Order: sequence, then C-alpha cells, then structure tokens
Amino acid sequence: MTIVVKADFKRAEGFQLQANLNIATDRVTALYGPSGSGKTTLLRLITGLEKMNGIEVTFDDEVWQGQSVFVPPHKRGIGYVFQHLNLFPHLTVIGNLDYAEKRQHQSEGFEREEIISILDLGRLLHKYPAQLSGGEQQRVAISRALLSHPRLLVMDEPLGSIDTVAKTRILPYLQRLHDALKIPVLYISHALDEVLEFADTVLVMEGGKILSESPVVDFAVEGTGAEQPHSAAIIRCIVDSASEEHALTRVDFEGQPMYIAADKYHTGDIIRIRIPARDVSLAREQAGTSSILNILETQIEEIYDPGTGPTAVIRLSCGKQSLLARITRKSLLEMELKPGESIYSQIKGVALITDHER
Amino acid sequence: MDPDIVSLLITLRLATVTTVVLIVIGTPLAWWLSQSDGIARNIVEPLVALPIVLPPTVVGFYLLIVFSPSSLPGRVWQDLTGSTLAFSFSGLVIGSIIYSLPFYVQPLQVAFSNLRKELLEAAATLGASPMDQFFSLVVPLSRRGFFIAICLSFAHTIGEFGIVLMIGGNLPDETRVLSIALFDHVEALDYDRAHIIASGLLAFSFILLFMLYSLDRHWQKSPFSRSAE
Repeated sequence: MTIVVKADFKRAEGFQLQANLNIATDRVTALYGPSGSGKTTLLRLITGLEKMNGIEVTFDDEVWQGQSVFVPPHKRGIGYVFQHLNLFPHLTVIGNLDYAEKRQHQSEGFEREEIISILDLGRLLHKYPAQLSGGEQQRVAISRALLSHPRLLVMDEPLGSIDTVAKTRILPYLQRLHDALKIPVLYISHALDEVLEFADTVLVMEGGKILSESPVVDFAVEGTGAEQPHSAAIIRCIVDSASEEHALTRVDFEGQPMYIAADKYHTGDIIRIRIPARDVSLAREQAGTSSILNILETQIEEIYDPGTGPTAVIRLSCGKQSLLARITRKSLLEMELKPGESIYSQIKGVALITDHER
Repeated sequence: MDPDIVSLLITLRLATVTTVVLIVIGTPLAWWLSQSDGIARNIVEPLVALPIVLPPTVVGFYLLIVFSPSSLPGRVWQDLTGSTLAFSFSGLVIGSIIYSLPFYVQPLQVAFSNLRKELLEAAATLGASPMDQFFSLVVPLSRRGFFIAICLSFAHTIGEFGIVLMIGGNLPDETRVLSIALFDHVEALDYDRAHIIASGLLAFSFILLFMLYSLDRHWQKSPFSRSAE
C-alpha cells in the first residue's frame, strides 16, 4: 500500500512537509525522527484530523484529500492510537471495546476474544480507565483501535506517556501483536529501542522530509551509526525448545542453534533479539573448549572502518540476516579481514537478552 | 380552582416549555460557542450574556415593541395565529427563553470547552460521525453541565418577574405566574397568601440548589469523573 502526502508549504516558523510513504501490508513501518520533525503533523494529515488547504493525501488510488475532496476522518478507516491516553472515561474497558465494535470500518479484522487474549485484557474488562495504569490503558487503546477493524493502524508515540517499567511490560504484547497483524501499521517514535523492537521498516524523518527508508536490520546497522558505541544488530529467531534447563532457551537463527537467557516463550514463537556489536568477536578457527556459548558461522559482508579511533565495525551475514561485530582496528589489520570471507562470530552468551527484558 | 394553584400550574408549564425549547436551541448554540472562534462568536457570546446584566424591563420593553402588530414579526405572528404575542402565554415563553438563555448556555459552554478534544478525535477514528460523537461522547461526558444548565434555567424561569410583568401583563388564566401572584397579594395586603407563595418559592429554590450541589459532589467522586474533567 502506498500513502502519498504532498504538502509544500511553509508556515511562519519555517515548517514544511513533503512525504511519500510506501507501507507494506502486515508490516510495521516506523517513522523515526526527533521531536518537531513533522511526524505527528504528517500523521494527522493522513488521518484527516488536521486539515490544511492545498495539500494532497492519497491512499493507494483513493483520494483522501485533493483539490475538491476531503474525506472526513471517520470515513478513512484508520485506527489511531494516540500518545496521550484517550480511553472514554465514562465507559468501562468493555464499553470502550463495544464502542469500536459497533462502528467497524470493515468486516475483516480481529475478533474480540482474539484481541483480548493477545493483549491480556481479561482481568481489566469491567474497570474504568481511571482505575487502570498507563500501560494497561494503552493496551486497551490499542485493542480498541484494532477492534474497529481499520485498514491501517497508526500509532503516535503509543508508549510516550507511560513510564519505563510499564514500557518494558507492554513491549512483549506489541511483539505478539506484530505476528498476528494483517494490516499495515505506521508507528511514530523518537525512541530507538521501540523502533528496533517493533518495526520492520524504518523511515527516518527530519525537517518535514523523509530522509531514508530501510529495513530495520539495516537501520539497526546504519541508522544507529556503525561508529556509535551502541550500534547493535536486530535478529529474528524461532524458539526451538522452550526448556528452561539452565534457564536458557534454545532458538534457531538461520538454521544455527543459539542459546539465550530468556524464558516464558513457547516453541515456534518468533522473537527479536538485539545483539550489541561490542558483544561479538571474530575468530578464524572454531575454538575448542570455550566459555562462549554461541558461535555462529558467518560471512563478512562489509567493513566499516572509520579510519581513526580504536575500533571498527564489521557487518556479517548469516543466512538472510546480519550481525554486527565491533573489533579493534588493530585486529582488523592483523587478521587481514576481507569482505566475503567466512568467519566464526562468537557472541557472549550472557549478553543475549531480548530487548523487553532489559 | 384556587387562583394561586392556577398560577402555580402556569408557572410550571412556562418553566417546562422554556427549558425544553432551551435544550433544543441552546445546546447547539453552546456547542458552537465552545468550538468556534472568530468575529461571529465574539459578537454572539456577549449577546447571549446580555440578559444577566440588563434590567429585565429593558428586554421586556424591546420585546413589547417587537411583539406589537405594527412591527414585522408581530404582524406575521398575528397573520398566522390570529392573536398578538404580547400578553399571551406564547409571548411569555419567548421572553423567558431570551431571559434564561445565558443560564442554560453558559454552564454548558464551559462543560463543552473542558472536553478533551482528543476524545472526539479518537471517536472519529473509530468511525463515529460528528453527530454520533455528540450523542455518544459529548452528552454523557457533559452530563454535569447539562444538569446544571437545566436546573438553572428552570429555576430562573420560575423566579422571573420583571419581564413577565412587561410582556405578559397579569391575565389570571394566561400569564399570571407565581411571582406576579405574590406581587398582587402584597399589593392587596393579603400577607397570608403572600407568605405561602414566598415560602414555597424559597423552599423550592433551596431544595433545588441543595440537590444540585449534592449530586455534583457525588459525580465528582464517581470512578470516571476524575479523568473526565
């Protein structure tokens, strides 16, 4: 699906906007950028909650706003999860869900029971919004938006108004949701960890313009800046055996086994793991006995050598996915690493913590 | 029937009809005042508030002129109904609507202005049309404003005197409301009957305000009102 927003205007403050978004069905597209980059304005123009003259908004071949057309927001079929908690205060959780269900945009979409179980609302149903925590309210808000059976779900900093603890609790729900979603999602955030956790594609926005579009894996490599100390790769794995022996879970990463310190997963779950570049080291030979648990056969894809400073970052491919390794420039020279070369990547086992467990 | 009972019934009928009409025309007016900004609103807003500061006799005087068959509205009314508006129950209703308008519109306008706009936006994205949003969200979330507006305009209509005297005259079965009847009894030095009406109006007003404040306190404590305000 394609959303095109054409707006070429400058406000007194010098604000301008121009965007052309391609968003894939059943994918999460993140709009990432600093505050004031025009993310929310763009979103409000797409939903029709904001009306500016002289702009064009199209959704595939449907014109939402044109010269003489303006489709009102309630007819656009967009589910919107707001930054601020927006549940209807006079209705219970059930009442809020009913409200959406009575006014569905289309027939296909989540069933109520399905969404209640994914977002774990069972015990909240008869409470009023004021009796829920921020994180719980946002889970209800997401459910409500999905129960309206939208054609597109937009989320504007949905975790922006809840505290860090609540945030780490809600992220696993978002991941579960991600796997069940069948509609495109546009996710606005200025928080890197949310984007890395939830998005498939990242659009970087600044000054009212989309600067770049890249898959989240590449974004994790480049967007966070290979030269930055915190660069990390995001990988997706399938849970192989959920055995809690040694409190480890075995996962399958592109056909190779890995052990991660995580529990509460079921066999077959797809999880996303963040591996900081500094936790990956490289070796030509497979070490005999080693305390390192995870050793993967990888191939050098690219070498980011800043030319100065102590370290360089290497991008390694493993099947269709990538890892990042930060090594010293001294090692880079001594080992004479070259793109295309096969090499073992050693990952410090204990460092393997999924994002939402931090 | 006792003439005072007749007056009581006229008064209740006037207050009821006036309040119902105010709900119908005052609600959209309050909504418009709360949502728009611009020259039109800046002119209409003080116009609505005028009866609060204006002597009722001023409003009554101008209404008398408008009602008279020599003015266009007065003539049209007479051609349509065969009677004049002045010194009729219908004329009294019109006068009461104008005079009680601010008491209905202002509490409601405040309630509407305090509604969080994002709630309506959320409703819109859930597929609710503006009319749907009004009845499914604005009305229940502004119930306190509605309650205050209805009570105040009803009570205010019952307590009205000057304007009724100007445009209603004092016709026993048509326009003699309680406040006028009270005035008549005092004029005639019939203090016993005056006492009954005066104390009745006093008790009614007190009970109404007492209920208003108690209910308001109760609503402030209900689980949703904290975030609704």
